[in-house]
Amino acid sequence: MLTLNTRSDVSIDRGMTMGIKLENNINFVVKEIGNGSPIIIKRFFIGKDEPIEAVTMYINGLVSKDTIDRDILNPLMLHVNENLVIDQNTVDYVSKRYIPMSNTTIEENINNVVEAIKSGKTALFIGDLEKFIILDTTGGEHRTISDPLNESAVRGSREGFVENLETNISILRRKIKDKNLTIENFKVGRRSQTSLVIAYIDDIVDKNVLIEVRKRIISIDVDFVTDTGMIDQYIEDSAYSIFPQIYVTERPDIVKADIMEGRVAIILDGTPFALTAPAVFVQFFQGVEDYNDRTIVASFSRILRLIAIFIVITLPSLYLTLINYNIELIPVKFINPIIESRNGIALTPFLEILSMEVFVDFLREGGLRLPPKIASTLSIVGGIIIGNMAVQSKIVSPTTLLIVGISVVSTFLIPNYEMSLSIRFIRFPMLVLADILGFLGIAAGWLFIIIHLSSLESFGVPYFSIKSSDLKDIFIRAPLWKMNKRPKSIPNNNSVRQSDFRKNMRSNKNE
Amino acid sequence: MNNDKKNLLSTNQLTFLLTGFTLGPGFLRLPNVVVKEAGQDAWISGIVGLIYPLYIVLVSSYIAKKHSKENVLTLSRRYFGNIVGNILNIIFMLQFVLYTSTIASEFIRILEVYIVAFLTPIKICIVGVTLALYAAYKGLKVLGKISELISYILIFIIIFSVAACKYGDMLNLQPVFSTRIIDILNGIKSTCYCYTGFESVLLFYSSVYDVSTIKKASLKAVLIAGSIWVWTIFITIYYLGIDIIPKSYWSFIMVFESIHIPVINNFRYVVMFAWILIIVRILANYYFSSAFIINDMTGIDIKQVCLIMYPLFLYLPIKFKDNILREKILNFAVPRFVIFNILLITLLALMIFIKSKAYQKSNINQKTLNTE
Repeated sequence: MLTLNTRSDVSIDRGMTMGIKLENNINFVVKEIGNGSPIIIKRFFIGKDEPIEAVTMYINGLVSKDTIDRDILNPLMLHVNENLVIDQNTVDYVSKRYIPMSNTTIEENINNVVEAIKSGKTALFIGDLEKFIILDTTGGEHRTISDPLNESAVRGSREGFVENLETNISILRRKIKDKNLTIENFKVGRRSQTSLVIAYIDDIVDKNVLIEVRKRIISIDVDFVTDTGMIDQYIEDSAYSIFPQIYVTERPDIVKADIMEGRVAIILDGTPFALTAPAVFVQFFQGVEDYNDRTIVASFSRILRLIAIFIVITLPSLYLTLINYNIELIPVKFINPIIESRNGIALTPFLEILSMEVFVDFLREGGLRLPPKIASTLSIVGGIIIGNMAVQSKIVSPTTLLIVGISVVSTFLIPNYEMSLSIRFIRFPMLVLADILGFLGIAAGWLFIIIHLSSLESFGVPYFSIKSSDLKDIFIRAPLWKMNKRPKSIPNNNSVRQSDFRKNMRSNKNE
Repeated sequence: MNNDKKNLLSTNQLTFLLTGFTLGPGFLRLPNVVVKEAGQDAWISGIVGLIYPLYIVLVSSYIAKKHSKENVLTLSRRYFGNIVGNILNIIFMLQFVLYTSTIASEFIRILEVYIVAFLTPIKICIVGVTLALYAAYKGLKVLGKISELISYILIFIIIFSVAACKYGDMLNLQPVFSTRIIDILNGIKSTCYCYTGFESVLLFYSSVYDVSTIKKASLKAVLIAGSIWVWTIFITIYYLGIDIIPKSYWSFIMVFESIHIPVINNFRYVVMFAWILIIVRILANYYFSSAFIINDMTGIDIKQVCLIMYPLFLYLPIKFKDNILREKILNFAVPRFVIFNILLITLLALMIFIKSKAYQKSNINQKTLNTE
């Protein structure tokens, strides 16, 4: 889209003789950005008697046009009531005098101009000068900050990350005003050239971890990335492990707490999900509310969660071994009802449990993407009709259904969605092991999990480690004012998090 | 984050790795073995028998202090020459191979008797040895970590056996000191099989992060393992009496039958769950040590050695399942291995001592020469 302006013969002549470099610059930028891009080139004149030709270039849709009209074109075209002298200082002078915008930079390298235009800025070319003004006109439509839907917390911030990288960085900056908060920029994807930033607190983060994160991000060589989920898989340590080795969250408060413990946050443009690395196993079972609720209550929920994990992994297979191999272990009072309920059921206990577990996963997977209106039908058909009828038509016994139900409900206690998927998955191999090996299978399964967890690493940091000082925040949540040191499991450069300030209060009381 | 620190064992891990080498299926029937010789004073044998692990640990820490970067395999080659050193190393390795097999065979027997009677021995063996292979394959650091974790589970389970105090009888232990000294000494001899394992510190002290803590860590390990051993003998005699103990092959498990918890019909299964973890842990540790020594001698990658040894460790336990054969071999081998270990490390320590003295002397001479 070219806009031609013709005023007087004199100025056209000047343009003809002077504009060769200008045209070259325009052509270069157009070529670099790509002919297919909706690039807008607006030509106009600046100056009173002897106008100089100027050009603004931007990509349609990435900028706020109001800003361009109001703050660039209006003052330059209508309010320059002097004759500009073309020399080294012209660009600087124009920028300082006539452009009422806060974020302007003067660039001499045209390649940087191309990058700036790609990211939604506007470039201003004045005559044949080899200096260019970059104006921050970034705009366009974005989703506003809202409650993180998938990670809602009863007691916690209502703010969630959005798709816009700059907004996300600004949320983080607002939350951490420390001068050591460092943000590093990267571009990922050969064709998509998506912006990616890593954020960390410079004097807390462990330098080896930081170097490792940087190294892995730089080495990503793909056509495009759309989500941090992809980045996660490109840079994690063990690709075939069941357990997530990088923490994913859309909650800025979690990212804040994580980088305060010495982790590095990875935020990608175009996705509300941020990553924090290195991750440790126990981190996935710590909820936001744990730190905002009262100590004892929060510790109780931690213990509930641990029981839930044990139930999800073990209960169905334990039940299977009990009714398959070790009936003598079932308390006498329970034996009668169980035998009665199992009367006339055609499926073997293993198939019975497996079919119900698979069916529940059907419901879960099906309900994931359904519009809310149909989702209620799913829960009625799935939960009430099929559940009821499975029992009545003697496909499964009510006890089995109860056991499967309990284990399904238990999965909802795991705060992190990815970890809950992983833990749910473990049920199936466990069930098969229990069917083949009985009680030995369950023990073998658990031992396998322990060995596997012990051997995992996340960015060179042991994924699962036992540190006595970290026990304050694993099975229970100790009073916050007692956690004076950062967790040892995450390497850091500065282990002191707070002073023992309650001591002063206590001594005051005694006086 | 320190890379060395990440790959090396922490002090705690060394302690629990050592207990992981010594607490296995053996001490479930330790009371049987000792009571046969020393009667109700078996626990005295248990205490006095600790001299052997204590000696091993103390001398090993001396060697570790003098040569913190080289393990026993390198040292025996250096002090006894390549050929003799390697022969000694092979003998040293043989005990690890033997114990791996006997432990695996005991694993099969315990599980067969108590929980999975419906499985064939080879299936149980495959499960146990495969898990041990997996852990050994992952390396020493992982072994250290799982040893630590499982030790906590073990200690937790052992605490439950305190419940037996309620039902036992002091009369079972009386009269104290009525056994002849010679019987107590015989009892000590029979503890050897259970009390071996601390020799492994000689293999791994060079992989510990803080070398100065080796002595403390290994003494702590002797303390933990020793108190569990003595407690096992004591509580079993106290609860069952010396007449009933020989009736059960693994008498210590019977102690846990005294625990009654509602809903859990039989506490024995909870114990067995923990014991499967404990036995696989010791199996993995011995498996790794065997592979470690072969790797040291041949230079083949340790992961490959682990894989190569897998069929051997499936075959031997099935062979040793024959109780008489196993007892025969153990009765023959264990005392000789114990004597071998004592001789090996004593000689080694002596030679290191003499060399260092000679070195010091020459140093002093050198200095005096220099000053003159």
